Amino acid sequence: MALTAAWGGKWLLELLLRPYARVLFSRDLAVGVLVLAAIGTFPRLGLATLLAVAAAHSLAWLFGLGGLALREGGAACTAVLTTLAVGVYAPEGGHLFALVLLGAVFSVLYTASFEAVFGAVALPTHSLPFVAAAWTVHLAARMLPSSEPPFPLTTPLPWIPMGMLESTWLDIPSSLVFLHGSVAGVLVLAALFLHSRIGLLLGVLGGLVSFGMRAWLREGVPWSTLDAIAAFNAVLAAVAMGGIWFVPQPSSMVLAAGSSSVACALTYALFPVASSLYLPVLSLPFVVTTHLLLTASRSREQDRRPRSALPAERPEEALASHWMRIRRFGDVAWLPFRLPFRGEWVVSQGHDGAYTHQGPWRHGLDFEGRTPEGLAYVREGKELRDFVCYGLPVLAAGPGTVVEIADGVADNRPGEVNTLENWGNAVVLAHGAGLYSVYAHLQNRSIRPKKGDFVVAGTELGRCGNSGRSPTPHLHFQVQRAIPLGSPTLPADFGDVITRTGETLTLANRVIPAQGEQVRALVRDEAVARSLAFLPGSRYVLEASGRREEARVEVNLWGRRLLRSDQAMLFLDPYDAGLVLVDFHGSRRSLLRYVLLALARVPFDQAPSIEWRDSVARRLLLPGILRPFADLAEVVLPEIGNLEVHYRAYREEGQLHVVGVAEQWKTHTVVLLGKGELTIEIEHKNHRDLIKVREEVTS
Amino acid sequence: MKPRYERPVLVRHGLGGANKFGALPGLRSMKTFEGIPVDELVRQYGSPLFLFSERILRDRYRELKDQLARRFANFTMAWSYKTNYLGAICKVFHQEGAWAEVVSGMELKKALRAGIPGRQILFNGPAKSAADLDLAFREGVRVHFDHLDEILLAEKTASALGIVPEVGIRVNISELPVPTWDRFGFNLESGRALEAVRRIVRRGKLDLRALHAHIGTFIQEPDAYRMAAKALGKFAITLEAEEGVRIDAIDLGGGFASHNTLHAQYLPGEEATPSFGQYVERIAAGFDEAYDGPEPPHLILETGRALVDDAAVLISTVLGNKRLLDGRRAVIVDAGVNILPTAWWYRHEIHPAQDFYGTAEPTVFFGPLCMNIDVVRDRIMFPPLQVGDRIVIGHVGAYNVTQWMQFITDRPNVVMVSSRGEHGLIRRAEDFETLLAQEEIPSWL
Repeated sequence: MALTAAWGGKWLLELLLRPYARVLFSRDLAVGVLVLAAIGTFPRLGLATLLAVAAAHSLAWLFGLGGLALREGGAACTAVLTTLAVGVYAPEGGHLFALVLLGAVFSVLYTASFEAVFGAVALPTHSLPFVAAAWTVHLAARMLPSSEPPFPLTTPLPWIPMGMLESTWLDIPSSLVFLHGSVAGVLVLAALFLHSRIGLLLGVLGGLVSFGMRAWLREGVPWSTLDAIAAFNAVLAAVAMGGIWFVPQPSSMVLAAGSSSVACALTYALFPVASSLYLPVLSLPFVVTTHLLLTASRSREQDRRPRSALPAERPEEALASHWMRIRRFGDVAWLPFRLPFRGEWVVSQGHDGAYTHQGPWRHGLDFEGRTPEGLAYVREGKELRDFVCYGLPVLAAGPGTVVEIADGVADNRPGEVNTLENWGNAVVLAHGAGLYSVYAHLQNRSIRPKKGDFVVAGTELGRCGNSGRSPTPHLHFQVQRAIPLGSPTLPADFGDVITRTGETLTLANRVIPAQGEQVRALVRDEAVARSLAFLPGSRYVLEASGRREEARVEVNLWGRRLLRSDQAMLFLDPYDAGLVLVDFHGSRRSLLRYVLLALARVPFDQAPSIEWRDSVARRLLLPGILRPFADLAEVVLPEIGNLEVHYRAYREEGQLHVVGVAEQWKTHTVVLLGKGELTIEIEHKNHRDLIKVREEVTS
Repeated sequence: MKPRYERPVLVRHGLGGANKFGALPGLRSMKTFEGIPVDELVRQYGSPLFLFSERILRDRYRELKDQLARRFANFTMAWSYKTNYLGAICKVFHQEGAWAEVVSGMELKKALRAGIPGRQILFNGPAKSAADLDLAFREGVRVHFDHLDEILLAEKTASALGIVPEVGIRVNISELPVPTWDRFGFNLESGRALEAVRRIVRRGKLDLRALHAHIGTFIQEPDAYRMAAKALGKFAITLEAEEGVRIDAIDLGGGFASHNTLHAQYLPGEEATPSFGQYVERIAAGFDEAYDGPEPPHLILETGRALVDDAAVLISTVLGNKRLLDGRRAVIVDAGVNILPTAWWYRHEIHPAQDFYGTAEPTVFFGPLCMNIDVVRDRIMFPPLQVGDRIVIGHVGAYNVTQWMQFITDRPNVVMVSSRGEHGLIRRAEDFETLLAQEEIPSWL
């Protein structure tokens, strides 16, 4: 019961506050509170917006737009803005009540239809529905007979000193909600700060650009409403382009500044046109600016500098997930390949090799098998069967379609080469447009699939042989841009490569193997895989000195697996060769945070001991008070946010130990194999914590 | 230095002094084990003394694993407890990632006690009690059945627990170039195996998932594994098609030869024993013949002897010399067949542990037991030995420290040497107290 009540309460709060938060591109209810407080400095206006929110929600509900749309509050947010615009621009007559309701109705309709129309071309509506609704109300109001307003909406709270309502630079933030006065301005600034420090920085940047534009274009002209409108459009454009649509970086700051100046110029350009129609410009310049720049940016040759951001609640999160992806999974568009063989082989010729990997074929890779003593053959090496890798299976490096096969070329005797049929017996797999992998010098008549077959990664394509330009058995692998054998090559990077140096095994997540390296793919360990499966629906209990947290494995709408407790979400990605804990969102008090620190990645490999490096976001370890500064610093110096962890795993009977060492802290995790139980010991400076995670088995 | 006295000997010219590969392999002395002087180890731990090399254990394991990794996507090695279930030996293999293969309730408890999860334990063998099965099913251990009565008992046990455990059956195969071990499991060609599968499937109380075969021991013909792998693979495919059984694991047991030399063997083990690569290549070939296209199931190997045999030596001290009537020289040493039962199977290689002088002559090594059967090596060309000299007996890692017996003498210390030069006891020598500890005198005596 209590839970239902709490849930109902949260619903209500979301319905009430999220529309206000969305004014500043936020979903945070606390931001909503501050925005509402800013509007509340004009109490009647505040009440009118509450009425508009209620009307918009009711209409959206009656109309059947659904609970999600209601909770996201898009239409209600439009209604709030429309009401604010009515309060400022329209209240000539006494039809306020009707105008507010009319604004709410049009807000719902415009929001829903614009989202449908612009969604189809992948453009945001931002405040375009608001501009349309406000104009509609504005035009309608002009048809009504004018009269003295019975209670003007724009009366401020009586106990705000008059001085605080005078025009200052704080009018720029307050003009984001169509108000004026320092109190509202400070509250809006506070809301923006709470939502995002990067957002605030971008807002300041937008404001400064608008000042610059004014000084340049309107020198000597006294400050007017037009300048305030230009300034708030510039601020909005900077926040949206620099923080929402692009990953916050120095380059996106430049783009944000550019967007601000475009928005200013557009304001100055559109103002006379709109005025001649007796319409306010509102935030139209901002919407036009974003649409222009977004559409134009999509025609760029490469999505770099600035890089488009994935949807995130805040710029900080977009930034963090951007760097997390690049550091941990590589800055490449395609999935990494898997080594095209089983067991340990040696790279006998790498990229830009001395023998044949040159010119258009510079990205070729030759692999051969070796004995423990480092020889390529046993006995005397006079027969093909003496060679370690001769006849070993060659596997598909990724899922793809067989587009080309060459077969029927006899294997050379050791030491001889066939330069007429350079590639020998070979298979070409297509992995998508412009991405093909080639497996050459295969054993005669060993190729298994047929042209047109679809194969998954790891499917046996044939056997390692000695056909074509190959003096001793080896596998030539290359990634190329086109189908024909011998097309120009691309760098070939592999995922989950284990490199052996002496006794030490090192796992690299994404790497181009270098000449002379002894490499192998992961050899899946069933027991470790089963113990860290995190199957959807399973429940875990986390316990640490007096704290207890329950979490459940869920799969969200986008197919991502996450461990969710009432405090936080831990996104995880268990695949066949390992477990990756991707990202953490939520309260710092959540014990799930430590699980990410302790096990950012675990390979499911049979090695007795293995080492690897991974990155976690430093923000996970910073005290809350330092995080806003760290956020800002990360925009310019992304390495600040990175904490490299050196992991080592080893085994004991029935246990896998994972030790993670980073500056200032150390984790030691014991995975009880077959029991779904973890013990994480954390040493951070002089502090020591022990966390037990166990699966709750429901019979 | 004063010249050492050499006893004059007359050596009869014997056949076998040279074979077609040339002269007999020259003896070399083994004064150290893994870099540590044998004398130092004996001073600390006494004689006789079993010495295990951690490095060789791991190297052998990794050699086999690397070979498997080249050809199989999905495989597991399980450590055969009966070959050597000393805790330290098991620990090394478990650290390397091995599962446990047990053949009795006792071994099962030992594996569970060591912390091995039930799902990583395979339970073989012809004798499992109701209590053993109960424990195994509770812990999720996969049991491989040997005979029908055992299946009936397992069905009863599982029903009482209210579970349908995943199990396997052991199959023996006649058409192999090795003697058929039809005493274990159900015969394939005669249809007994199919009959057993049908029984299990119809009754529905056990979930058949694995086929297990163990074609013999010290198999020196790798092609036998190809034939076994092919036979089991084809059987699994038939079962899937005709009985709807999904076999997810094929366990080919063990039986790979170590580098020992059998009594009846002509070539020495160092030359005759196939490499792990040869065995593995044959298994892969067998799977290839059976599975044309689909991925073969999880391969399990339970190799014991070939992993551990070469990793240990037995140090023994000369107690005396004598001349037998047939002219052979006899040397009495302090290690007998009670602690080295494999002497009955193998011509163990023996090296002097110190510099040696004089002419090698046919020598027989007798143990210390007052029993005619106590022969450690019946004929080997060996130089003269003095009382107190030491010998190093090679390839003794498998079965000795599980099959040895407390007979006439105590069982000695067992020591492991690490690759970094550390050494320590892994099993304490027994003493007089051990002998008495288990004994009772009934009250009426």
